[in-house]
Parts: sequence; C-alpha cells; structure tokens
Amino acid sequence: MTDTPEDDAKNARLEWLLNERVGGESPPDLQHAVLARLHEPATAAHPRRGSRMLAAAMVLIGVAAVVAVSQFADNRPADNSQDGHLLNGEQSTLTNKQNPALDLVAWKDPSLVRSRQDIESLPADTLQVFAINLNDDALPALLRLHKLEALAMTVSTYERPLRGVQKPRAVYVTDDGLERLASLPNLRALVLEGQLKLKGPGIARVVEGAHLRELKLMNMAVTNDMLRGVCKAPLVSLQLHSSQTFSGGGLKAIAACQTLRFLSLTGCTHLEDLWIANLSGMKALEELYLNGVGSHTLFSGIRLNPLPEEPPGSGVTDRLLENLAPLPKLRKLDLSSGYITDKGLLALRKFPALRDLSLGSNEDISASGIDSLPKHIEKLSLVGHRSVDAKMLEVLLSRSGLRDLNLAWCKGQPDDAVEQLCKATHLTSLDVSGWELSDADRERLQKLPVTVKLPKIKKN
Amino acid sequence: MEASEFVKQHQAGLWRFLRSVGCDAALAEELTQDALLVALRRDIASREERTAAAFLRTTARNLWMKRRHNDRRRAEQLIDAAELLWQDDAAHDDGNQLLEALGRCVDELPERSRAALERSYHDGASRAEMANELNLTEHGVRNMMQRLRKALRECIERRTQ
Repeated sequence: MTDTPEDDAKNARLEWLLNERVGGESPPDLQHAVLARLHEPATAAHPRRGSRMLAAAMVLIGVAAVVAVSQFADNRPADNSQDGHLLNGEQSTLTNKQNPALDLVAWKDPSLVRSRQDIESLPADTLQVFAINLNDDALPALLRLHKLEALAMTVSTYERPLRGVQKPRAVYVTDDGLERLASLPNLRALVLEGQLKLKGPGIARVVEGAHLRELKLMNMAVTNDMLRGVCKAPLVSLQLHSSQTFSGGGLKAIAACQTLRFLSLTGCTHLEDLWIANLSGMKALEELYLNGVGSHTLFSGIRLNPLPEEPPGSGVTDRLLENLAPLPKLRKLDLSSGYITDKGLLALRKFPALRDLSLGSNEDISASGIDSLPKHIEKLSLVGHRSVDAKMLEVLLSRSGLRDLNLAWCKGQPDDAVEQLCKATHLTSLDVSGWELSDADRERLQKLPVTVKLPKIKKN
Repeated sequence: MEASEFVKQHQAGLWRFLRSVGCDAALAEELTQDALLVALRRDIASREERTAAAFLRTTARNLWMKRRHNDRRRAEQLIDAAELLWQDDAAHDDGNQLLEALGRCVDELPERSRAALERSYHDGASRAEMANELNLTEHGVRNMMQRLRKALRECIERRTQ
C-alpha cells in the first residue's frame, strides 16, 4: 500500500522531531549570515550544491588521512573511547606533551561550540573553548568571554553523525575575523587546525595583541612570512604539526624568538636537515620535537587541503645533529622516525642539559651508538626499534643514570630479555608494551619495584 | 522591525518547517537564509507576524520545489500536506509543543526502545551495529524502528489533539 502525502509529511515531521529532540540538532542562528548577505552590493552567485558537496567530499577524505597521520606521528595508540564532548580526532588536536615547568595550558573538558548561538549560550566565565567550523560572523561572540584562556578552532568535515551519515561541511575564519580576538584579555593559548584562509596577519595580530604564550598550527598553509609575523611576539610554545609550506627562512624566524621554550615540528615531513639547523643557538629552548620530520612513512600523498604535498625532505640526519648545537637548555629531544646513525649520536654530547631522548624507529642505531650517548640521559625511548638484541639490552641496562626506559613494540629481543630487565633495579619506569610475554615473564615484571607498562592481555 | 530582530523571530520556525518537509539540516539552513533575504528585500518585516511567517513558508516552499524538479508532483503534495500539519500543530509556537510532546512520548518508552532511539539518532549507529548490540538481526532492527516510529507518531497525535 502506498503512503499518502499526509503520511509522508507525518513521517518527515517525526524525523525532524527525533533529530532535534533525541539527536541534539538545533535551529541555526542565521542573523549575522543573513544580514551580511543583505548588505552585499549584489547577490553573490551561490555555488551549486552539487559542486559544494563534491568539494566537501574531497576534503572529507583528506581529514581522515590527516587524523590518521597525526595519531601515528604522536606514537599514540588508537583510543576508541569518547571522552566528554570531544571526538577522538578533536582530542588529538589538543594533546599537549605536558611539562609542568613550562606551565602550558592543560586542556580540560573545553566547551564545544559549532555556531555563534552556541557561544552566546556559554557562561561569561568560560575558560576553554573548542570550536568547530566557525566563520568570521561567530567570532565577535567570543569577546564576551573575558576569562577565556584557551581557544581551539578547527575546520572539520567530520561532524557528529546523524542518521548514520557523515555530513561534510567546512567553514573557515579569515585574518580579518581572527584579529578581532586580539582584545581577549586572558587568552594564553590558541590552536588553529585546517584554517586554510588564514594568511598570517590575523594570527600575528592575535599573538601580539592578546600576549599569547602558546600557538599550535595544524594542517595549515604555514608560510615563512606567517612565521616571521608570529615569532615577533614572546611565545613560549610553538607547534607546527603537519604543515608543509615553510622552509629555512621560516625556521630562521623561529630561531629569532628567544623566548621559545617548546617547539614541535611533528609531521612536517618536507623539512631538510640544514633548514632545521637554523634553530641552532636558541638560548631558551627546552623541548624540541622532530618526530616524523622527513618521514617517508608519514608521507601519505593524500592531503587535507588543496595545497600541493611536498615530497619528504632529508629530515633528521647526522648532519643536522652536528649543526644543531648549541642549544644550552635543551632537555627533551624527540628524533623518532629519523635517519640517525651511531656516528650522529656522538653529536648529542654537545647538549649539556639533555635528559630525555626519543630515538624510536631510527633503524641504523646499534648498541655501540647507545653506548656513546651522554651519561646524563635519564629517559630514553626506542619505541618500535627493530633490533633491541642482547648486546643493545646489555648496554641499555648498564647505563646507571637511566631512570625511564621505553622499549614498547621493539623487536629482536633475546630469549632472556625479561631476566635481564629484572636486574635493572636502577630504573623507575619501564615500558614493554607490544612484547610477546609468557604469563611467568609477565608476573616477574609485575613484581619489579618499578612502574612497568605491560602489553595488553589478548582476549581469546 | 529591525532586520536582525526579524531574522531572530522567524529563523527557528522556518528552519524547522523545512526540516519537517524532509530537507536535511544543511539545505534547510540554506533555504531559510534565502527565504529570509527575499522577505527582507520586499519589506515583509513590516507586516504582521503571522502574515510574515506565512510569506516565508511560501517562499521556502517555492525555493524547495525548484530543487525537486525531478519529482515535482510528489514534492508539491508533500509540502502542501506538511503546510497543513504545520498550521494545525506548530505555526503558533514554531513547533515547541510538538517537541515537548515527543519528549514525553520518548520518556514513556521502555528502556530498550529509548536506548535504540538514542543509538540511532544521537550516536548515528548503523543498523548492523544496533543489531549486534540488541541481539537482533538487521531486519529485526528495521522492524523495531518502524514500530517505534509508528508508536511515537500516534503518541504525538494523541498529545496534540
């Protein structure tokens, strides 16, 4: 039997009601959008829906790739849980490698907004906001939040699924819109992801005007000029994740920012070693993340944005380490997924403050290279190294200054690896995630007087 | 009336009307904007509220019909039926009473049914996922959701009579 138009209308009405009442949809606030269009001199040609949907679909593919890349780059296991308001991809945007001494903003359950209306409904004392797909019209509403200390603005085509359908929709802010935020009195941290319409002046204006301490730019068209503008301000932390449109000139600008204590170039696969060497001489730099730089693994060939993807650069090499010193305060250095050899590790002796070193997935490093590392290294990560053999293990465990050893997902261990590890009483923390352990070995490691991270028990 | 006040007054009702016709959220937003612009340019903001709302729905109707040129006849019948339903139950309060009625109907459902609605409409779970969680076949989930929708429709009608 065919439904009557009235039945169809009642069914369609019920779908609306369920989506709004159960699905959490709400009518949009269109005041600014309509007024802006009303005051346009002539009606702008509206892009055809079909072409917009096609463009959005292309972007959707890119987002999936980049979210995957950024998860890999951070060496984090995939987390399928949903925490509070944010989805996994959104959470990865905010992940900060926290060092209490740097006093970086600790993101904690930020208010999630998708429209001006959402912002207007926030309490005036809101501290942290995570915004998805805002346009310039929505930004003035943020000025009401006088206590706002941290703001993330991401462009996402991955919206919460309704009726099982992912809805692609990308909305951007521009420099003109962003610079209005310069008057936020307490803003300390700004995160921008996928904001391809930002050319630089707006970011520089906010960084300078709001006296920002932390800036994170992900999947952005970060240019040398943009970095020159941004780095005039006394930033403490700068993170440029998976951005591929700057070069040696931009890194020179960063090096000139003598207040910078935390710098991450994670996933900037296109960088050349001699460009990075421009960072030499940064007097305040304490933490430097170069993981995934130059990596062919992270080079996906698929882009979030319409920018051309640069092929992988030389990345982290022995030549870089030879040219990177002096960095007198460098305490943490992440060289994961690089091309360092034993010879290159000798250059690490030029870093007197270095305590925390990540060398995961540098396949040319052997026991002899580990043996040559400065004695003051307290924390060492070899995540994913394929040849942690008997000799390497012996050298590692003979380092009496080592306190924290990460051997997660390593390969090539000798049969008595667990027995050897049990003798390492000077360690305070040990990670053997991803190892294949017998029940007896697992039990022995658990009895050690150190914090041990064991592999997950496989379910049968 | 100021343009911004006019938009604020009518945007929710018009968007909901378009959603109730079956427009997805993005298209509803686009057509709501377009209809409000037409009204403002023709100075409909100075008219009485109900007249302005009727003008907006008619404009939205015409804009929507343009998008449905492939099945124009059926679309016309659907939106005319939707207009009558809207006038009866929603025009006086932009559909708030209907939403409240649905809320009460959902509250009366058994826990398992409420959970199924939540998984489907809030979490966007697929039929296969729901079948796994509810220990049903996909066909069983489809039947369950059909029964739920029918029950909710009847409940809403009872409550709004």
